[in-house]
Amino acid sequence: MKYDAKTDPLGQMKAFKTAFSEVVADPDWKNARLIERQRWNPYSFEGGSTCAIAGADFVVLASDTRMSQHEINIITRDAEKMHVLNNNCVLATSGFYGDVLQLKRVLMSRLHKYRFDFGSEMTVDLCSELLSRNLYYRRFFPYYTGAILAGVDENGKGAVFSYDPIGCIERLSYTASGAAEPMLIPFLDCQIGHVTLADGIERPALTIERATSLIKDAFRGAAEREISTGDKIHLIIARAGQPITSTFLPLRED
Amino acid sequence: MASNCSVDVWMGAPTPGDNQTLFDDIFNQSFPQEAPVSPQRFAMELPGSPASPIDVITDCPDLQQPVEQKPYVTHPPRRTTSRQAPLAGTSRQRMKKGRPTKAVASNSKAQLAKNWRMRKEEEERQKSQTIQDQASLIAELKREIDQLRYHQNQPRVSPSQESVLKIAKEFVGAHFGRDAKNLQFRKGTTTLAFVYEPATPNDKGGIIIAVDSRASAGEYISSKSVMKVLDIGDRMVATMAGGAADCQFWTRVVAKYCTLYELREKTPITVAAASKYFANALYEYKGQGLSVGSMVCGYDKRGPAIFMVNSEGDRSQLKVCSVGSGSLNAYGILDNHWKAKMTDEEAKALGWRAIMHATYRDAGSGGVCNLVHITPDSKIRYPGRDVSQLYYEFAQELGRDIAYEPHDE
Repeated sequence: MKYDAKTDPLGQMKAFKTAFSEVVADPDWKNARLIERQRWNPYSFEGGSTCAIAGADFVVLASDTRMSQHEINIITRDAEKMHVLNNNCVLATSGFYGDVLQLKRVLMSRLHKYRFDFGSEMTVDLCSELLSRNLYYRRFFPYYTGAILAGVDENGKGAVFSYDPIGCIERLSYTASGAAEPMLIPFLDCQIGHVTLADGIERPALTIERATSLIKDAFRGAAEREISTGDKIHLIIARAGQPITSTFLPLRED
Repeated sequence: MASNCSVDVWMGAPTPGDNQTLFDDIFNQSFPQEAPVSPQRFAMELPGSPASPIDVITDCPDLQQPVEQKPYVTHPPRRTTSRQAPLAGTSRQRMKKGRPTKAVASNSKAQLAKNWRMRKEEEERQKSQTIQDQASLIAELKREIDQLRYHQNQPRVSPSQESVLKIAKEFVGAHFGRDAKNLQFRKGTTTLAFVYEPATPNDKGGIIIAVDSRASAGEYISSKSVMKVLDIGDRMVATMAGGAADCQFWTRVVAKYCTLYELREKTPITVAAASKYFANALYEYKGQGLSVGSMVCGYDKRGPAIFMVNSEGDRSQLKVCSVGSGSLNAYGILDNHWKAKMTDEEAKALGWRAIMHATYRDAGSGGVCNLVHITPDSKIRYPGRDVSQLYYEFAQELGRDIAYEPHDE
């Protein structure tokens, strides 16, 4: 903005104000990431990770219970990231906690309607498609969560479904999501997917004890090297024909 | 004729139509004749016209001179003496004195009236001519000014140079700018499909579709086992490239439409119709950020068909098609080895080979290769084959020893 200091003092003031606000908005010494953070963002990231393993007739899910703010402050050590929707389905999510809660409400409402319409609980296969569609309905303002849906399907087999924020669905035998996803999945690839084993070597069977111990080890390893994972492990086990159990185990609190 | 003259001249205007005598319009004008209309006066007299002459907008402000108000009545003053009185003296005497002769003096009323009328017309014509001249002159001057202004503001570049610059700018913007639409690199995948005819009676012919199975979120591989061949009907599939969720959701929408179509029409939908529906659905969201590069492949009553459908709005029928970041590599192999008539084994090997080469050289593709063979009466899905394994198998076929053997120079 051109101004003539000698003849236009008011213009000089305006020019100074404009220049100042421009510098505040886009300073030379800040990179784009910092500037992006200062702009108002409808999303915030509460951190945490979740993981699920499917077996022959069971599923094991685990998440940490830490909720953090700006990746540095701990808001609470008892946050619930896994929600038991009905006796067939368990939803495990992490990311933006507001969307986590909203997703849970949406699914509970739809399951409630299903119960009313059909007189029985929705199975995990149908619920997985429902969740995929509900995530895609918000294609242009997504739920910022990496959702995992797990349960024992109608054939009695363990089912784990993994989603991306806009609803790409995939049924897998193990998956993880959240902040420590890049640390958990290679560990599970090695121990459950056996990718590093040569062809001839015998692969250990995936029993429920092995799955539970693997998932605990995975979280302990993640808590060592990831700042927003820690405090407690929330463990949920769903077996065919048995009620869903939920326990808490201690984890590093630092 | 004289008896037809109206007596009630004060009550109403004699219109030019009735009582038409030769000079009625001149000599019977006793009430106010309308003066030639000036813009201000006209505006004031119309109902609903602006109250003051200031509000009137005229076309040509330069002509806003006060128009000459004509006198009340415009006919020549009446003669007080009768024309029919004889003129004094003989012609010769009158000529000596410089007075008009009888012939001239005996101009009749009719002639006078006619002369007067002609003079009036002449005057009016001249006047209108001058007005027209002025107006046209002004208009011409204005046009010239506009031309000059326009030419002043134009860039000093010749037309041919201008177009070249524009093309260059567009090219650079499209390929290297911020919103570069380099679609190949966004759709990190390789999918391919081709149609072939059976070479021998033992072969079935049809369509081969081969895809990789990698899904990436930036640099992180979020999944290495995505199924990128999605079913639409019993004899139709769609491949997935671009946004995984977009492809899954919209393929489901198309599949629903195809099922309903079949129930309604009692005949399976054609690949052309299904792909058209797909393309139309995507076109509604054009520009909003969907990313879909799908090939709808299938067998219908018209034969085998592959339609490539795009979130940009493209839809084209092809015999050999590949979509994704590794499509360039796949095209290299396909263009080299594809023949119109092949055996089934050759065709499947070509599919696996092309995917192997694409995943070998493209970081966005990998995982396992899923192959689907659509024949005239079936759809066969082959189990996934790891692409690194495929590499070793094809290398063996070439007789190439790929074991690493270090040697000293």
